[in-house]
Amino acid sequence: MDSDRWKQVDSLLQSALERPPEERDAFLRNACGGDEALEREVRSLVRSQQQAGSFLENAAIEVAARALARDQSKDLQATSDSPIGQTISHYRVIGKLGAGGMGVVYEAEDIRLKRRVALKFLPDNLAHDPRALQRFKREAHAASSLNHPSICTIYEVEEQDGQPVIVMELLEGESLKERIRKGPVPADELLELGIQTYDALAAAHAKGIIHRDIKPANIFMVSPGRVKILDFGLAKAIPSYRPEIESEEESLTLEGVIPGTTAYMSPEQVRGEEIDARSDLFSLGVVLYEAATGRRPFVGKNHVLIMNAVLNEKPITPSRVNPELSAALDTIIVKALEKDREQRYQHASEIRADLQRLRLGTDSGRATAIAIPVAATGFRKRWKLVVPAGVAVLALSVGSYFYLHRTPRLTDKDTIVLADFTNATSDPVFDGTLREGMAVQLEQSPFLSIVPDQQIQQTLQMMGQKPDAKLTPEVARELCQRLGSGAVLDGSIAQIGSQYLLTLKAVNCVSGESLASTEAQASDKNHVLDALGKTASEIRNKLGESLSTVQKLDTPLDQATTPSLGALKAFSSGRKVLLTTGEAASIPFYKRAIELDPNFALAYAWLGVASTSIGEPSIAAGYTRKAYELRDRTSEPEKYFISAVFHKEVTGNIEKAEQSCQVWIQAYPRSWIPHSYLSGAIYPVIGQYEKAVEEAREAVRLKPDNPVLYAFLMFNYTSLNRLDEAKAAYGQALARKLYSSYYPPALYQTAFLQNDAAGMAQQVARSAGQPGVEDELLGLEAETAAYSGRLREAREFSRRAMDSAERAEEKEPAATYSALSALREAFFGNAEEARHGATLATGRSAGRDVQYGAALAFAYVGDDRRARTLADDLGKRFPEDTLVQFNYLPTLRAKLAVRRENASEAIENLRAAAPYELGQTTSSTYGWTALYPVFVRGEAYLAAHQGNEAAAEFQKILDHRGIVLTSPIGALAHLGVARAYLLQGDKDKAKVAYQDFLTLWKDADPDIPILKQAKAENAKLP
Amino acid sequence: MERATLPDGEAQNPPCGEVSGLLRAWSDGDRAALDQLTPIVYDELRRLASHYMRRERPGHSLQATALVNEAYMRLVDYKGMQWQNRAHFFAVSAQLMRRILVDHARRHNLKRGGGVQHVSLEDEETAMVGGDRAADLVALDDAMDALARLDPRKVQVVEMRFFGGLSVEEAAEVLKVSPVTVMRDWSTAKAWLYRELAGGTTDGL
Repeated sequence: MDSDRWKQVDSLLQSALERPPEERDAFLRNACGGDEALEREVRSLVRSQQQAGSFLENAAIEVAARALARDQSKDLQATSDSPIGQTISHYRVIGKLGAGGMGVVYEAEDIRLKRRVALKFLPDNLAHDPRALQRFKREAHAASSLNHPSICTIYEVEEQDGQPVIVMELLEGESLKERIRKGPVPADELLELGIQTYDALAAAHAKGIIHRDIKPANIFMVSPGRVKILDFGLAKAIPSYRPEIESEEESLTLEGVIPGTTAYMSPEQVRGEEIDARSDLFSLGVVLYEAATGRRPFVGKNHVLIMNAVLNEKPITPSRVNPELSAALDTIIVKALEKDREQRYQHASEIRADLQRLRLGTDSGRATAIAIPVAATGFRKRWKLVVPAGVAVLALSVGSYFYLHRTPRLTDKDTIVLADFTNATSDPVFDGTLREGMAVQLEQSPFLSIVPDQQIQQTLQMMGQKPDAKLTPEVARELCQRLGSGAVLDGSIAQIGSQYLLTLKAVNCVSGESLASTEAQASDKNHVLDALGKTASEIRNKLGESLSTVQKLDTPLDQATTPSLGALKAFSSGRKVLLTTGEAASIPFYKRAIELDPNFALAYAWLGVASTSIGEPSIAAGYTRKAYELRDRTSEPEKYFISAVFHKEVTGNIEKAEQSCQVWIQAYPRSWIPHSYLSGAIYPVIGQYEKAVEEAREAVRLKPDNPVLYAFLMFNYTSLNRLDEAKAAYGQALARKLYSSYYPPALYQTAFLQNDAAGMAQQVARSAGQPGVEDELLGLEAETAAYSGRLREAREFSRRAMDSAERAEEKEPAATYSALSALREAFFGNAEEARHGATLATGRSAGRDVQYGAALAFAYVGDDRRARTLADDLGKRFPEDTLVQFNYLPTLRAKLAVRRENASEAIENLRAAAPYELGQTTSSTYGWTALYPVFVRGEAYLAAHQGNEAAAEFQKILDHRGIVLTSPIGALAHLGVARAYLLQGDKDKAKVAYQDFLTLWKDADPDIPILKQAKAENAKLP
Repeated sequence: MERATLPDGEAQNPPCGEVSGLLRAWSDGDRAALDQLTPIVYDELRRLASHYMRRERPGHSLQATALVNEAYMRLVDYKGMQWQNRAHFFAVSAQLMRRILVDHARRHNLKRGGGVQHVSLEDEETAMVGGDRAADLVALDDAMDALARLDPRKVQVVEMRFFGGLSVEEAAEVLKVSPVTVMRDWSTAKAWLYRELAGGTTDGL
């Protein structure tokens, strides 16, 4: 064949391949114009092309190596004893780090990722026991699923000559054991250590992994204030290891030479019983004790005596050993060391929370209030001083690990900028779609962190670009440099015949160095998303993520999003519009997406979010419910997100919502979103403001440039009456030049609490004319006016707030202002106005909180029937809702009981609300339902003629100004206190309280019924 | 410029620069360099082979691909090299791989079935058809020579992609053509070579 003829063949072959298979026949017949030989040749090549499949698709060296492997597999010889100098998989062994009961550990270089790792080999005597091997592999695999900053990462489990080899993070620093040798660990460092390690245990326990061998040698201090736990679960894998085999390098203590590990066993471990997670909590308690005091709680001259001490002796209180320790820490450690595990902390998160509280310095006595129970006698059964063989499930420590600083591809602190895919096909369906798909895929990685679009937009604007500018590789690289990101990911798609080629490349945006690249082919358009998923998984691994998380957290793209390219296209357009235009504009795109794929869970989830934002809570609930039903069709992080939102917004089950966030945090410790959700939407509802502050701080730490997080800090600090810290949080936001529409209401509230009229006016002025913000400030002004009895003014502000909300097309807020007006009138004794407002509110919205407000107003003015109807309806609609069941309904029923003059029933009703009574609705930026249960309880006690109890309730309201804020019950509580004292016959105190109320209401409208009553009551006093 | 030498005994992961230097020398016509390069490639080959012996997980492409990429990275220093250009370097290392691997196959008499055809899980259909008709590296080398007489660029593409482990993009850069052209060349060459190795006929042209 000559070269012209060949060119003809080649060109016809390509043209044929570019056509759909069913058209090729006709095309060739036509194009060959009767040249049968030509036609046969091209046809033969087309056939061959179809059959070739993955022919030549694997690199030659691999093919050759496989062949060689088959040739040599028979005479495989075991390698020499020491692996130093050998290469195992892609790890070159450099030197030995240590040895112990758990095996031998070597330092090695990961040639592929150019980083140092530690390799752990099984001890020789176990290496030939198939059952031990199985167990070891299983445990190592389980442990490799743990991804937590305080757990030494297991990258993968390799095999060398049939022996498992654990490849793990190489750690630098010293073990806690070495650290303790230098003396007790200072208190702040100790708390940090305790918090991090208990946090790590919480993460492991949540996955059902128990460490079983917590001891100082297994805890590494990698840098000041950062610790890591080693060897999760491995103790179980090597059950034949017992303390007798401890090496002689164990520590010298005051008592002389004593064996190590026994001292950290839990009583149940010593007894050889089945152990659970609580055993780890005990062992870590022993470690904390030792770190705090420099000596161990349970000592003895030999194993048996130590075991006896673990079982029967009560340790000396830590602060008696080290007088610098606080009583609060004593309490925590003593509780951790309870012999009866039922008496101990039950979950790692509990003790972590106590330690955290201690660190925050806000320990208001909860920890100290825990009584130190007398040692449980139940377990003082006759313990025979004989330890059955094989009882002690222990393992030896490994020496030191040293981490030599080498730069891996990326670290888990780097972020990544995703560029738009270069679309070399003529098909616009890929524009935007592939980047969105890639983002979903990569967000599953707990290791990689993608720069969010919002931040990209802001940076684009700083670069003088339009916020929706195309992210070409050049633009993306500049973005990446400005944001200090680790890498930019460039992708491309090209069409070759009916096939598609996708490429993906990670580039260091400072040096331009290529960090990793990958490509995949799709046989046709329907397989493009598959191919995209493949490139994503591959790049995750190549960039340094542990293989176990890549495999575990890698829902295929068509399952994580949608198998429909068109639906994904519509969805990604929606996401884009959301950023440039707003939530409302994104809705039609999402709707289009679910039209094309009615099972597109993520699209429902975002429809839910968008509908909430535009004030359509009931429509939003429908979408969120649908997303929740389809949640298995999303990726891991989306699943957590959907579950948390579903429980919070649809069922209202706060406990479940909190749990969703907690598991989310465990799986994705780098994600700020669950922390943000906990601090902004979950903990405030149940009145746990300290936890909310903690979460907000954690969220800020992870995501310091998100303005909303500072608002959450401000709100929660304010709720705790910690106004200086609230202001400091605002200062932090200012320093970062951040702004959020939450700031004006938050600042208004702190100004209100400090009687700073100018400060309040400033925030009102700042938000005037801003749709969606203005109405909130007007609402606050209305409440403020009502707080000092200026009712006409309050009505005027409420009217303006409603107008403003309606102008901004925000239905729910408008209805909320009606409900608030109604309640205010009800409290003040204006039945007619209250009824009118409540009717208006329920007409505007069937939302949960509005309905409650209206119902309470009806209950106050004696419209029992309507109050009860609304209450019953709430109960039916929200059977799982924490706020409804434990706050709203008890309050409503109690109020109705008070009206029926059945005070004791009312008090009984309100018992259920006690744990939640400091909680508030978060449907607006001020928690307007807060402390109503307390107010009604105060009224019930008044009705029951229990003055002392009534005074205590009203006083509680006065003591929680940060939560009550501008609510009129804050003013009326003074009157409540006055009446309570009067009931007790304490006329002096009553007089003072009446004066407080009347002073507060000195400018009040004179015709308010409750004011007239108060004046009359006061006048009767001598 | 310093001339690198290999350490005595087992070749132990020579620094990339060393391989680079040898490659350059070889491409400049220094035949002794090939003698020094060959054991390095063999070493890598053995290392990979022992990996496969330990864990035969067919179709597990993530591992295998990472491994092979790494092999190339170890052999050739993509980043640190100071060649006249990357393209030159890629071309030379692909030729080298072809040369060494084919020689190795000839010497070890790699039998049919031990060679080219690797069928991934996605291609069950091909496995049925392809099956026994797999060809070895030696036959492939011969077929490539035959194709080179018709269309040398297509053979270069195969050399770079299959032997050199280059991506489509990189091959395009070397050949100074568009990636689409590389993909076209690749699919034609694959069809042609597959037919050749599978014993198909050329229908009388």
